[in-house]
Amino acid sequence: MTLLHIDSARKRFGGTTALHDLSLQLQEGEILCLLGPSGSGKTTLLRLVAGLERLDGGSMRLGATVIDAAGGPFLPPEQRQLGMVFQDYALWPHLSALDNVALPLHRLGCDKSREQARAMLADVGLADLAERHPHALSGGQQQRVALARALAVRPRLLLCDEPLSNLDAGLREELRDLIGSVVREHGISALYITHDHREALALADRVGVMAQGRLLQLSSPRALLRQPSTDFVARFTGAHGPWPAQLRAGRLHAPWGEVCAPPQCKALADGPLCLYLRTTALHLPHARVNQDALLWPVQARVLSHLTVGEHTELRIDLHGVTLRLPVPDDLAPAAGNTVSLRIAAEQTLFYPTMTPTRKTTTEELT
Amino acid sequence: MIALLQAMNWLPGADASTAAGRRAAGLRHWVSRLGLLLAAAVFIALWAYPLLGFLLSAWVPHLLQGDLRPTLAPLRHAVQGYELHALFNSLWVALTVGTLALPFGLWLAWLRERTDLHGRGWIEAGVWLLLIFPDFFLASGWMLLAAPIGPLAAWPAALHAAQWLLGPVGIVITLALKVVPYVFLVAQGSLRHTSAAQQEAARVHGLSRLWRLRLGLNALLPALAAGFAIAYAESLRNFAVVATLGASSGFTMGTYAIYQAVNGMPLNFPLAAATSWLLLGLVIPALILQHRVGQRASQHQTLGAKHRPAARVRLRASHQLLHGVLLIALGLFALALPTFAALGVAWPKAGWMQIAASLPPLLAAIGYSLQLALVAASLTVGIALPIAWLIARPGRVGRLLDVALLAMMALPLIVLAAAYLQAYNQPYAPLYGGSLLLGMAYVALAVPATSRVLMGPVAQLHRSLADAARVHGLSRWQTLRHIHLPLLSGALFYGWLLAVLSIAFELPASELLYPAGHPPLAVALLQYAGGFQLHQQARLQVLGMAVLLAFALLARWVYQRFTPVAWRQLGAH
Repeated sequence: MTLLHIDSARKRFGGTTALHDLSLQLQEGEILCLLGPSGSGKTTLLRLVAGLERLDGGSMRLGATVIDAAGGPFLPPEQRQLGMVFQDYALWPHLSALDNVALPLHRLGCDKSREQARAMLADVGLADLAERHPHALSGGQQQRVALARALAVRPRLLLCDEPLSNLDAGLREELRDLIGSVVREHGISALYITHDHREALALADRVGVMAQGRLLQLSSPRALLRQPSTDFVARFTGAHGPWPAQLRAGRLHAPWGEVCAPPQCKALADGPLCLYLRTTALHLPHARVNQDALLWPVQARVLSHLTVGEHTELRIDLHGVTLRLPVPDDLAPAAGNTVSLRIAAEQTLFYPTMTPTRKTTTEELT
Repeated sequence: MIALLQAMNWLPGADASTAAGRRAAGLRHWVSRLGLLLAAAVFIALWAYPLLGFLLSAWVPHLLQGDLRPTLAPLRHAVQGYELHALFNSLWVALTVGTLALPFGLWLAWLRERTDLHGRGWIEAGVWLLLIFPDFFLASGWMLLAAPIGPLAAWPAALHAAQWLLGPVGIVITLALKVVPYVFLVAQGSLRHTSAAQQEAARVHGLSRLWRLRLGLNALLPALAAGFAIAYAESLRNFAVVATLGASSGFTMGTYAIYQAVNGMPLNFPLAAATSWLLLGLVIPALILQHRVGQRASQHQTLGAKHRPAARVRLRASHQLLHGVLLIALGLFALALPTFAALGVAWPKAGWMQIAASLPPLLAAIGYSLQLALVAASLTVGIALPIAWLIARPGRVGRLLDVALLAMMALPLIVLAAAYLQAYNQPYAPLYGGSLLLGMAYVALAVPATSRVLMGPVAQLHRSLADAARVHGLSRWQTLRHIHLPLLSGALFYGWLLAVLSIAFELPASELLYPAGHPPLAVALLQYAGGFQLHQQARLQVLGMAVLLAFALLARWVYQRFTPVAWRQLGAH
């Protein structure tokens, strides 16, 4: 059942259009992540849903209620029954963690607001710090309080505005898992925006990629990784490239030679292409690979070794594109050497040389 | 001083492994000792000796004459009769001024920071103008407005109403106008740095308008408390307004009681010291409150990297008009009215010849003030810079200096002036009656505020800037010339200019310490007012403002003309 229905949402700030007729639907109990670079319009969309901005065109429905329609009805944020986790936490600094969580509950006329707030704080692992004020909490703890505050009121929809971007890497991962588990446990729908594709892919049921106020693709994380709709989406979700290639009569002329074109090229017309690939498509010679898979042998030059945490990564130059390839420590060739690799052709991504930014229709997205 | 310069990495070290290096190190050791001694001597002469000598005389009246017998008589005297009455007046005036200034300052800050009022940038300009407008010029303007030969002479009813300005009502209004800028600046800072996210969170989580207002006020509470504390403390410390508007109406306050104790016959320094202690007892709690509130407010800053300023309130046309009219009325009342009153009295029916004949004593007073201000301000910057440097560095010395500086800023200027009068009118320190003593007092008065002005820019100069310069081959002199000086030039220049202006307009020390026959600007103004030479008073006020404004503009032009563009851009930060 659809909870949030956004239809042709448009928003302008002065002479700049932040959102271009964007449409999407969010289902009950779903976590939908919007992914995009700075200025892509994702925060604007979130603030429109929250009621902190007003639409210039289009409409929004929450359940059966129209919450905003350009020139028509508008439901103020305080009446939308939402919860929101802000990037800069937005805790009320003069209230303790417990009071921060209890205040919205108290406003709802809840008799046992403090007990419920305490239980919510326990859910996010802060039972012992309930009496502390925000300034006495670390960034991660403050964001846990903000999460507890947002979930305590049992919102119809939880909005998350890059909640992890101010935290360090380890904490980000921990809190991301916590948000996912707590939100699912409470059966709440969530609209979550981030610029980190790993965060979005790990957390979301569906991921939308935005750029320049447009929604380029909305699909499951797996589909997004396998079939990015544009080269921008491919790049933004971690694919490497582009390598210039030419499709001619079922044969692909890539920088590493002429090879048999993979099945995903069948729909493409002959002509110049851009080729992208993810590091998961690259295999060392000894690695176990499906025997039926179409593999392209390539040679890459090792530029350097990197120790990333407990792993070793090779910085390699693959025909003019530098990328990082995780390898077992004992198999890492020395810098300056050449390493033989195999590319899983079916995992490669192809795009016409100039991919226009395309508006996604409502039908495609739902 | 040498030690301070070394602490600032401006003096060379030496290689201790060679004989020459060891000799240089030994020399450096003695030079640094000498520098430390010099710094200690300056500290003792400017602050420690006069202030301790004066304040301790409340209990040991003849301390400076070598008689150590203690007594509580001065304190007993101070808590009865005239002094107690004066302190009581100080208390209620300061509380009233704080209460009045708070809503005005908050209103101005809200208009400036949270509304789309047309021309709101002028609010800031007006506030700064009010801040640098000398308080006794404001008070003198009111006096001239209420004078029988003033601009209201043709309207007896208005003139009669204006008489209210020559007493507690005028004092409260003048002080309130003078402290509104402090409240404005504190509230502005708070409004500017409060993220919109907290109010947005309140809205999204369903809090009603009333609850949101409560949250907003709570967020502003530290700024309001700090603004009130500053307004209250500044009113208690003020001398110039009560010396002009109070003296003419017989209304007295704590600072004026101290002045009378050391200016009348017989001189009573112990009584003045006892009254000073009581006045400090009223001032210091407010400053401690302000400090505590400031600490609490900084603890409340829990923002992350992204700061979204609050959206401005869109004022309807009628509200734009209403606020605009009120602002213009406030500006006219606070700045234009006293100025026009002075202008009106200065050039009534007198011919140019008569005005020209009256100018020499006025120009002499202004010239004397300006000369002393130039010398004292330069020395002030020379002392304030290393102090700011030491405070900006972590360590016990910095913390001690910071506390000492705060204490100095809490001190009413009349107390320091009275202390100088007592300390340097002794057979073994006969400096009273000369320009040297007045200059010393000016330096002692101006150093705390100038150090505060320089502290921000100095604190922003990260040590690694100099380290990077040295590592990349610049000598210490080149580092000073190419790194420190450009980065600090703007702060040094504006700190110096501010010191020049504040010294040129200074009243309490001038009044008690000026050399006979050479009254500085503020003293001459008061003398004309006391002698009912209102035309001269008005002319001096107008001329003084004009000359000092012209000087400030000229100095700024010289700075901009003769410094590289990059210096000015860097120094502006």
